[in-house]
Order: sequence, then C-alpha cells, then structure tokens
Amino acid sequence: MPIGKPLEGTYGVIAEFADPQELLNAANAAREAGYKELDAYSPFPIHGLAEAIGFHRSRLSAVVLGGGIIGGFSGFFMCWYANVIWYPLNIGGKPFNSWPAWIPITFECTILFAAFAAVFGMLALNGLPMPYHPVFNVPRFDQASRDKFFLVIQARDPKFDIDDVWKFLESLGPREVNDVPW
Amino acid sequence: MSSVQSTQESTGIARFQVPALIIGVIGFAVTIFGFVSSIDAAMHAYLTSYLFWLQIVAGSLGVLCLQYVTGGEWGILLRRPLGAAARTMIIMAILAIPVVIGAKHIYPWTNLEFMREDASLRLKQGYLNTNFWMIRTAAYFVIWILWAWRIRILSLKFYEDRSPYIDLRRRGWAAAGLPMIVLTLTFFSIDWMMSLEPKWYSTMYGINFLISAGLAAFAFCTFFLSRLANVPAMSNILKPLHFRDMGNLMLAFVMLWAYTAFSEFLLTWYGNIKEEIPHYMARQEGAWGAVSLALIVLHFFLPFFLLLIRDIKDRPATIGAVAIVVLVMRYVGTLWSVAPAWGHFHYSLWDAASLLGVGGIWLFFFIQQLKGQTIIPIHETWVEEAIREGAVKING
Repeated sequence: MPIGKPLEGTYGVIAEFADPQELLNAANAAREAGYKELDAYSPFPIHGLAEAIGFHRSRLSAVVLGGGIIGGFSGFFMCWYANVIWYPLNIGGKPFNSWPAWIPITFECTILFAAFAAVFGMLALNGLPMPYHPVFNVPRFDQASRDKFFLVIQARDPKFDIDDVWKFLESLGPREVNDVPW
Repeated sequence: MSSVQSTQESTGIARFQVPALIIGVIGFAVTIFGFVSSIDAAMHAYLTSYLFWLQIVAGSLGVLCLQYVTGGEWGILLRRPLGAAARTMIIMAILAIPVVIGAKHIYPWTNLEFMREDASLRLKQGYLNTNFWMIRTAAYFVIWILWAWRIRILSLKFYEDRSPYIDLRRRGWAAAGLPMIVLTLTFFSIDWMMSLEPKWYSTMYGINFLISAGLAAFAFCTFFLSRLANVPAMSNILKPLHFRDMGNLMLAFVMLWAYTAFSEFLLTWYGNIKEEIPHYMARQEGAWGAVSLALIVLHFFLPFFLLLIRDIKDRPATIGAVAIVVLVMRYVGTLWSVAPAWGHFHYSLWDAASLLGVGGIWLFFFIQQLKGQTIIPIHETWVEEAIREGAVKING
C-alpha cells in the first residue's frame, strides 16, 4: 500500500465509492471527523450531499439582490431621464414624469439585471469555467460521470495530514484511495 | 413509518371549534341586528366580510385541484386543510343567502330606473338582472360543491383500495377543475363585485380575484400548518423546508397579485377613458387613497421582501406571521375592491361584526371537516417522500 510522504503539490486525497449511500455516509463521517475542505463528485445529484460536505449558503443571493436593485433604479432612471430631461413630450396631456408608465420597464430591468447578476455572480463565485482541475489526474475519475462516487479531502484542510487522511478514507470502506497530484 | 404513526395523536385543533362558533353566532346576531336597524350599511359590510372568507374557500378548491394535477411534494401536506376548506363551500352557499335576499340594497343594477337612464346600462340589462344573476350564483355554488365533494369521495375510495384507476379519475376531476375554477371565479367576481359599479369594466378583474383567492387560501393554510408545527404530534413532521416551499409559493402569489393589480391600474391610467377612470379616482381621494397606499406597501412590498428571506420562510413562527399579514391585507384589499362603490371610507360596527360572524361560523365547519382524519394524508402515494423532503438538515 503506497502510503507516501506528503508530496509537494498534492491537491488532496480521493476515495472512490460504489454507491451514493456509501458516499453520503463517508462525507458525513469526514465532516464529523473534523475535515472541512471536502468535495464530492457523483454522476447525479444526491439529496443531502451538499449539506454532508458542509456546503454553506453562498453570497450569491446578496449579489442577485444588488443586481436587482441596481437594475430597478437604472430602468426607472432611464425612463425618467429620457422623458423629463432629455426629450420631454406632451403625450395625451399627461405629466412628463408619468411614473406608472415607467413601472414595466423598471420591473423588466430589475429582472434582467438580477438574472445577469445571478449568472455572472455564480460564475465568479464558483470559479467556472475551469479549464484545469487536478481531480482529472486520477485515472479512474472519469467514472464519476458514469456509476462511481468520489470524495476528496483537500490538502488545504487545516487538519490535512496525508497519512492520516489515507488511513481515515480507507477506514470508510472505499473501493480505492488515490492521491490527487496537482 | 414511525413519524406517520404519531400523526394519529390529537393536534388539539378541536378545542377552537366551540369558541369559534360562539364568536360566529354573536357576530352574526349583531349583523342581523344591523340588517334590521340600518339595512344598507349592514348589507355592504356583510358582502365585504363574506367575500373575504369566500376567497379562502374558493381559493382552496382551486389550489387543491392544482395540487392533485401536479402532485408536487410542496402540497401533499396541504391537501387535508385545503380539502376541508373547499368542502365548507356548502356553508358558504348558505351564508350567501342574505346577500341574495338583500341584493337590492347592494347592487345598483337591481334598480330598473337607474338602468334605463343610461344607454350603455340599457344594453347590459340582458346580463345584469336579478333573475339571471341568481341563476348564475346558484350555478357557481352547485359547481363548486360538486367538485369539492367529488374529489373528496374519490379520495376516500382511493384510501380504501389505493387503486391507481381511482387516483387517475381524481386527477381527471382536478384537471377539469382548473378551467372550471378560472371561469367560475372570473364570472363570480364580475357578478358579485365588478357589477357594484355597473358602468365600469376591467378585463383584468377576474384574474386578479382568482389570484387573490389563491393567495388567501395559501396564506390561510400556511398559517394553519405553522400553528400545528408547535404541536408535539406534528413537530417531527412539519420541517423548515416544508415551510420554505409554502413561503416560496406564497411569494409567487403575492407577486402575481401585484402584477395583475398594477396592470389593471396602469392600463386604466394610461387609457384615461371617461368610463374607466372613476373606479380609480374614487380610490385615490381621502381615506381610500391611504388604503390604496397601504395595499401597495403592506399587500405587496412588505410580504414580498419578507418572503425573499429564507430565515423567515424556514421558521413556522415567522412564516405564520407573514401569512397573517397577507390575510389581513387580503381583507383590506377586498374592502378596497367593493366598498368605494358606496362612497367615502366608512368602517362600521357591522363590518367587524359580520367579519367575525361569517368567520367564526366558517371556522367551526372548517374544523368539523378536519375531524375524524389525520392532518397528514397518510394514505396518499408520495406522503412519506413529502415528509422526508422537509427533514433535510440545513446549514448556514
């Protein structure tokens, strides 16, 4: 069994499991053992897995809210500026600042900016697109898109000690444990 | 499953039944006194209160149909309260009798002199006349009662033999119930509410009332379940994610309500046509203007922002409080829809009395309908999944 020294540039240690329940149990066990920098890979969403690897609510909702508020104000400002300052026209005797008529634009801009904030904020926060990821250095990792389930404990975990992590992951009854080199 | 077994324990709802009836009877007695002493004011008040409670009942039937068609896990735990509310349509039909008898104190089109004066009103007489109105009203209630009880009977059959054929028939009734509820509530709102201002019309009125009813039903059932979450028998079943689902759907209803209500206003405002604007002019001045502002702030913005926050949706105490805000504003919204037709803002004793009277009597029959069964529909197909769905642990 190749229990090596901590390699320079190890991303983490990966364990392969045969079914989703094993992965879920392993992830829960790892979190309970005090590991924090976990990641899990599976061919399909597993209910409760995100919680098991200690997934916390992201700041995305705040980003989306900010986008929505900026969008709402810009939409209203655009209508107001065009109709009151830039090109005031008397339409049917209505006041220049016909604010009820600006509401649909304001609403649509709120949605548009919030949606943009959601998409780009999501990409900024999760680091996608990611052209290189070390887990693909593990030969069997392509099984993660078929029928195998993987748990990674990352080297940046404060508790990370490669020998301990190996022993710990092997104690969870995986099919295989591997180092993940950078 | 152990969590299902525990639903056999008492939830303690029944203890509210007699107090509800007492309050209802007292309120109703005061309202009857109002009918005798100042018939017009009391009839107006009664119509408003009645329409508020009817929205919960009719809305429940609509949401129930939606739930049986889609079968989403969000609503399986809502089926019993929704069904019980929908079946109280029988008592709502009986409570509608004072409005039908007193129609001439409520609806200006019952006055033939008034109808003959105006060319456009003369043309509307073929639709807006007392006999045809009564026939339509009777038809709505017969249809609603038929649907609510047909679904109930099929459900009871399904619980007995769990035959997928019965389930399919129930879904068929529910599917047909969707266009049914859209059409009946649209015409009902035209007949019972929009016709208070016979010269005025709005094509947005029906859909807004339909959504209002759905929102009222949703808020009521959410409030109901949020109270039950503290009951020992239910606390291990009703979980944060269930309430988050209900909160999200309530948010959708709040937004739809604002969307249709504002669209109606915007089109009228922009069109600026003499027949259409009096409706809003009456609602911009004086106390009605303040009520309009309250609707914008408290019926839309407040629940909208509160329901965006997960911590509020996940906790029974807070989601229950939001549901109460929505219900109160739904009553204010109903008042705002109908009462300006009778002039300046005026809230009388009869308003409060009839609100409690109709509500107390309705609540008595609602609880009656819930009795003798579990609050969680333990015989339904996906109920265990629906219970588990809410129990996932939430971090952060």
